[in-house]
Amino acid sequence: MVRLVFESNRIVSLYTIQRKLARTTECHQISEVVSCIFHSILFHRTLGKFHYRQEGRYSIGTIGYEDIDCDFIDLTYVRCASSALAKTMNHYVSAFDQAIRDPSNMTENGVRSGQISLEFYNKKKVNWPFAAECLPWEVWTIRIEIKTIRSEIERQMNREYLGELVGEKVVLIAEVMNRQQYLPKIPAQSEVDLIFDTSYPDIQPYLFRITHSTTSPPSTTSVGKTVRRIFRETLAF
Amino acid sequence: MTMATAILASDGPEHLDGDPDRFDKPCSSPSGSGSGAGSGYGDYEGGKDIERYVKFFTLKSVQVVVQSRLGKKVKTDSKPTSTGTDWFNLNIEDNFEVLEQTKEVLKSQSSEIPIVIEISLQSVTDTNTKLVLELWSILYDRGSDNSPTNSSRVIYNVYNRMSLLLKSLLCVTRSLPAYKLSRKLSLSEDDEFKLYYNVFSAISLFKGDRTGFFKPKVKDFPQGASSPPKDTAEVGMLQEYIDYGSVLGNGYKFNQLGKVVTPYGTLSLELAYRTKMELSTNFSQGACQFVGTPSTPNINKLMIKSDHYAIENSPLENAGQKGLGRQRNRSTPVTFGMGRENIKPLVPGSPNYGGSPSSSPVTTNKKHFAAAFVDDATLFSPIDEEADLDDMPLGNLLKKSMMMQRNHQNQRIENGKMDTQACPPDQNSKTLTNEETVALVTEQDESSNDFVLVDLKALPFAGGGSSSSGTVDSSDPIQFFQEVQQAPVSLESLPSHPPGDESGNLITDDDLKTFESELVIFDDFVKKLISTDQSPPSGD
Repeated sequence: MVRLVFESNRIVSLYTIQRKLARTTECHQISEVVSCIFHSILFHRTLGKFHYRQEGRYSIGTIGYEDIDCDFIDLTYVRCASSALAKTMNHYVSAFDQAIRDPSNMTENGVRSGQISLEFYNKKKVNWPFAAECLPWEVWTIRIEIKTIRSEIERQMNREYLGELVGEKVVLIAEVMNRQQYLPKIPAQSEVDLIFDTSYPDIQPYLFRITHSTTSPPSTTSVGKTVRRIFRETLAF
Repeated sequence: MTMATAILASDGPEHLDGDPDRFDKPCSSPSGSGSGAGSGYGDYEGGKDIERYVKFFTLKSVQVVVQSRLGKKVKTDSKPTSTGTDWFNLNIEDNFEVLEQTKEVLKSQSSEIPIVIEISLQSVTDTNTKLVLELWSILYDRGSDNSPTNSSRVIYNVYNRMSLLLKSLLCVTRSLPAYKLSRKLSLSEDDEFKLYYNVFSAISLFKGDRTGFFKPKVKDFPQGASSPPKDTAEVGMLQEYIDYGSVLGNGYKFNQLGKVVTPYGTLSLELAYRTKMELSTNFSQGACQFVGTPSTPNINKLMIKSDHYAIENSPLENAGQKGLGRQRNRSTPVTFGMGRENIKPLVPGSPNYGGSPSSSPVTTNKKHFAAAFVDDATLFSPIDEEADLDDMPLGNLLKKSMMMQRNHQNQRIENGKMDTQACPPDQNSKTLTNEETVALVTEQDESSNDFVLVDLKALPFAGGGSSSSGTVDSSDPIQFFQEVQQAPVSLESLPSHPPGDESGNLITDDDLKTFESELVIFDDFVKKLISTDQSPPSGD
């Protein structure tokens, strides 16, 4: 039986985002907040491109970084210098943004909310014909609520407040990352795709996926549930 | 500069064996002194590698911190293959000036002294104005219970952890207030304020207590000392204690960003930063330009006294000892010269500036006083605190003139009152009002040689009254005037028995009897006046 060491990191935070009363504007604060946090996490969870050589030796490439200014909150963050990764992130974040602002997404209180999760997982090879299993080993979740802003002053204050709040989250992320914790071992060349995402030309992040939901219950994928499922399967033999 | 060349040209450990689990030889370090691959140094091999990693981690950390305060956005490229200078698989470019300064500090560093990076805001025009914003510390603590290892897996793990810590440093530097400041101020056009950096080595004697550190004095610290002085007394002579609270202000925040545990010691990265930015109002519009560019010269190491921002030592407080201003304790108001108390902050360039060397950037709520000989004749007003007069330069003169003035005033008011009470409104007579009395007194003070027209009235109690010491025989105006001149200066010099009888009444019983007996005459007089008023006046 494989010893599964897992850690579930959940940042469940309440973010307040503006929305004008009279008309719906393109509020980009949601995408900026989520991009900042997820890019900061991914930056820690990305290595340089692996180049395997003979006898199992390999070399690792170099990651660049870039400063990104937010326009709708008072913040600047660092992300990997990879246009492909930025594109992937934009895709997921804009999908979440649309979902959360969808008119049909409304709870009983009249508050719009949703959550988005960044999950790092390992693939486990299973014999054919079954598909490979995904075993998450780290999950980060952001919970967003949309709040109505009624005045310009409130918007400015909200902008600064969000900037500080997200900045604090970045510091928290750094602290969590630097604790002694589980990281998947560096695989051999044949198994690198089980641990890393090798689709990017210039960087190599750990395998990850981003899911979101706009329903109140937490997202369906969770580390705890996966572990329970594995135990059940193991005991079933 | 062989050493420098060697360091820059060395490769990172990219030649590590691929699978750390299946290693069969120690990791090969292509450069460094005497550490060829497979040279059989045994346990020391890993130690040397880790020492090297720590050194480069320090160099790169300083680069990250200082570059983040340049006020510009940074972008570096990802490379699929690493080159020699890409330590920790991160593309962090090296600013040459910063690199040189850090190497200098590392050379003089003793084994356990941490490196401190200080980010501060200073005024270009006024070198005393300095606000320390951040203090970053990189510490490497060689533990006593080391477990030396040769495992490339462990060493590789250490390398990765350091890489992770550097990434954290990159992220966190953008999330702090000083970053926003640097970006904002680099866009302004004024050159009043600049952000400065300083790298120095420090000693943290108190391992558990992170309220500050000891900073060796540049001149006195013995170069190349093998170990830091342990004795506190000895430390006191060679170091100065930098207390976070006094340097960064109340409410400073302290963070341990992370640490990397190695078999040979623990590397940790800490930060203390200011949260309260108290500066003069010009600051928000002032601009900053980062000094640490290749074209600008190096900043000399600055020593901050631990009590630099203590209000008791503010130069404004001590201005009196050097300059024209003087002050005593803060609670009692003090006046100087002829000016009354002026509660104004001392601002350079104003006429009240009392000669203090500079204005502190930290706002104070202390009262500041006008210097002596302030050219404010309009500020003259009677000073109430007689006790202070004794200590003032020309206090004696002021006292004398003050007392003279007071007594004349009292006298005049007294006489004036008597005048106005007794004299009926008479168009022919001139009545001295109180204000005129005072003006009269003022004129008299300035030159006693001038003749002053004094309109003497018939005093009420003259002519038939008893001749007690206070009354005057009005039949002789000149005599009256002379007697007034010779009148006692202050009321205190008057005899304890006031004029009048023992009970203190000015109007004695005899006088009363006289009045009553002559009551009819007074009544007739009043009636005459009334009838005169009722006579048809000219124009009504």
